[in-house]
Amino acid sequence: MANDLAAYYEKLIDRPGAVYAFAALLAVVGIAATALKAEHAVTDGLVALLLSGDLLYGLFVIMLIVLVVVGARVDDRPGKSIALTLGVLAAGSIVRLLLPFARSIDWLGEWNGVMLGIMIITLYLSLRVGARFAVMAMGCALYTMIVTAGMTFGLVERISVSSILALMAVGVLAVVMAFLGYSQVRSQMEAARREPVGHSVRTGMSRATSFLFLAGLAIFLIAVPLAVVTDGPLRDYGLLMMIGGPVGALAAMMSAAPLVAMTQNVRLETGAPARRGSRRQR
Amino acid sequence: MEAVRAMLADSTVRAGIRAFNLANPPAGAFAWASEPVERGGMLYHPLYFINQDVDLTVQPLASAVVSDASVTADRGAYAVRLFLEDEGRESLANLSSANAGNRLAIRMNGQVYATLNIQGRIPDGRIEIPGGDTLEEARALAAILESEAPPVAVTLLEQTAGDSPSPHGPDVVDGAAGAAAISLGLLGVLLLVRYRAAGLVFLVGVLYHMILTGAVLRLWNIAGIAPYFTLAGTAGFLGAFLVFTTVHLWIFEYLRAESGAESSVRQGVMTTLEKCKPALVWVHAMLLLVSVSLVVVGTDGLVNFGLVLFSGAAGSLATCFLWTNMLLSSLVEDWQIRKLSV
Repeated sequence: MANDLAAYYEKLIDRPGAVYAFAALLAVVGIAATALKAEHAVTDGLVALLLSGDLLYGLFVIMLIVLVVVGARVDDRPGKSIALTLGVLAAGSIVRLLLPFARSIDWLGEWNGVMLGIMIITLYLSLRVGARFAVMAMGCALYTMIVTAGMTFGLVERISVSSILALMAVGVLAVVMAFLGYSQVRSQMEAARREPVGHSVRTGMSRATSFLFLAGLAIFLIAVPLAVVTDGPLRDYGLLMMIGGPVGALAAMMSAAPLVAMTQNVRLETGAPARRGSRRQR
Repeated sequence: MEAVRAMLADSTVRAGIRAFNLANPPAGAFAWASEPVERGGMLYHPLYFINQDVDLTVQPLASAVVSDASVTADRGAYAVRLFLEDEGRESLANLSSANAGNRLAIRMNGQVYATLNIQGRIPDGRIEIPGGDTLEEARALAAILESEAPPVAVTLLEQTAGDSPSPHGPDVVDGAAGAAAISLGLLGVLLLVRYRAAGLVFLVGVLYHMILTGAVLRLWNIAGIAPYFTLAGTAGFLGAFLVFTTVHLWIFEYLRAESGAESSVRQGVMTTLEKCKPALVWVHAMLLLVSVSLVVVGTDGLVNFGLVLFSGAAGSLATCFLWTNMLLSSLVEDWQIRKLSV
């Protein structure tokens, strides 16, 4: 069964149009589920958290950590990832320091816009320095959070701080699943250095298929009783995890399609051969 | 007073207090006095900064149980004399011995009722606190302290669901315990179907992970950072547990693939453990960094979420290496099993 799944998955990677269409469909379903609900009740605590800027800045810092870790481990760009992270962290921190000023002149919306702008610029620069897997891991988390929030927030009575934190946990899970899947790709890249990276992505991700499928299923099974048996905030957690787990696994699987397209003609950079002993051989 | 309340509620000020607490343990918190004081014809509302001094030898007096409270009158002023039970008596003796010269705050319902100067060690668990202006007030206070519940009628005017209240009401706890048991049962079935007997290593690892997570949470508590298990903390715990499950599924799927490729079980297990190690370290390092950054950057809910996520991630890392890794390598190296049912 695992072999059939992997073979079917490899066929899907070769048809990126179908994968993109499915991803778009899932996102539309999520957005529509939220949009169909006329009104969303939001707690005061959540409003305070959003206005404090802590959430957005926290997400920005998490994004940079993912960039450093995935960029160093999978993309093999430790220096560039760290340098980029330090630069944008300095810019983001300056913007964060300006928050009380922005609040005092009622420019909170503009402040959020600037912060989001820095995050988008970070994604673009990450692609430019070659941290493709890091960008895809961040994309997986973002996609999972958007789709999960869309589907779940249409079902819950009230959106609170704890719901948003559970959504963050779903994002973290998506990053972990993507990272572990990409680790298979990395092993494959090291084993087949002469092959294009795109080939390693295809082979590595198809090896990770059974793991991603099982991870999505396990999270679903763990979360279902919470969503069904409990009530209140715990039910909301259950719903978020029940939808977020499988969506995260799907997002990690689907990320192979753009990765193959991006790395089709890229080969793993190998350093200069190590110099042998300095002693001249006779 | 409202202006000061607004100032204390400001996220920047709260972040400053948190940073101060992290840099200057033990953690402290502001608390208002229960009643204003009159000085020079003016009413003042005292605001206290209370250190929550918690360490291994000095337990917080919040857990002390009053065995007896009686009213005494001396020179027209009423006082309530408290006698603590054995545990509280020992805690008070340790606390007073370590804090001679400082002041001890007595808090009820989040407000400071009285502050007492600690002259020296209090060995007998006996304290005397001001008991109000009339005998009735002193008696009422004694009754409250003895029964731990206000002897007054309480009318519920409004009930709202907030973010911070603990989810551990009896119904919620019962429901959550039932749901957790079913979840673990379903996970167990999945693992036993997929990995058969080897799935037991995973299942016992779940227990190991929970114990280690609890141990790290307790360390936070001892350090005075005290992450209460709020809704935000529950979200962090759930997230960490699901990460633990995901990571272990990855190890077992890797093992399954390698067992088919290698000639012997021993070789398959050792190759898997060797190849998995870097990715496991990196993924947990990422989680630990994420949780630390949330603790540093965030306030309130984010901090609790970060602390519990950190504990869960640390528990998961320790379980991977101290349980799963060691047990699997012992199975093939020391016990030399010839077949592993993955």
